[in-house]
Amino acid sequence: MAARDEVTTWVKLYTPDLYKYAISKVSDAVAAEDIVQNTFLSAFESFDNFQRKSQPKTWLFSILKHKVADFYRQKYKQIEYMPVKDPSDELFDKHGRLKAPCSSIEWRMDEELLDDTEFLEALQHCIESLPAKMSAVVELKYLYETDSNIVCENLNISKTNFWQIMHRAKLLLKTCLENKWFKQVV
Amino acid sequence: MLHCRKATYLIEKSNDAPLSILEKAQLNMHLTMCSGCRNYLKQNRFLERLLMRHAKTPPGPVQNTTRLEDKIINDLKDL
Repeated sequence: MAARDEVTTWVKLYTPDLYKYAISKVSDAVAAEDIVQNTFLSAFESFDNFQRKSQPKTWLFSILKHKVADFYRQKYKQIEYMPVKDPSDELFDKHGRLKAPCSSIEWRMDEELLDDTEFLEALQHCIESLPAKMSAVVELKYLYETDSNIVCENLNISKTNFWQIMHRAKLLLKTCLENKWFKQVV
Repeated sequence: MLHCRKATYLIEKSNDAPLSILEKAQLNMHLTMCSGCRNYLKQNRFLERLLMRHAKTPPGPVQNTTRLEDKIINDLKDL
């Protein structure tokens, strides 16, 4: 059958590029493979909609991008047992003041750090250890789409909600990086 | 008087949207008095740059995708 043959050819031609894109956006090999696989299955199912005006690769990428956004939507929607206390609450005392250790650690913020593989691994670890909902927002904002309006639209949250989530996520990232990095290299 | 919790929230908000005149005044007032939040402001801006930059970091060498291709082609046969 023509559609199947054609999509099969695309699989051979475009899988490496699609996979490379997917892994850079979701940084999870299993999820990236699933996303690429679903992209081709969707392409096959909606083959009749394929407008030959665009290149197959362009069309496949537009499907792929939707799948990546879906991945984060699903991740955000996951039912999560929210801890009774928000972990970032512990950084403040009962008057809302930053507690001493949290406010006093100085970071050595060298430009080279931005290219330091080990440091970036620590950062990635810290992003992944955020509560799932928070990491979904952080990843969607910074890995997938840098426009916060689109992030909010995708996850169906308000701007205020988005800032609250980012506020907590950054505080947790800060603490995690201090433990993993800044306290170690003094 | 603003507390650190609100001040750090406003710092975060300002990465994404302009603060109102009142918010700006409250934050600046707080920052002049709180060295912890001044420190946090620097860290927050650094984190922001770091995350922006992180997004642009190309992934490491991509694994061979032949196995994935075979799997997808197999699935297509069953459809």
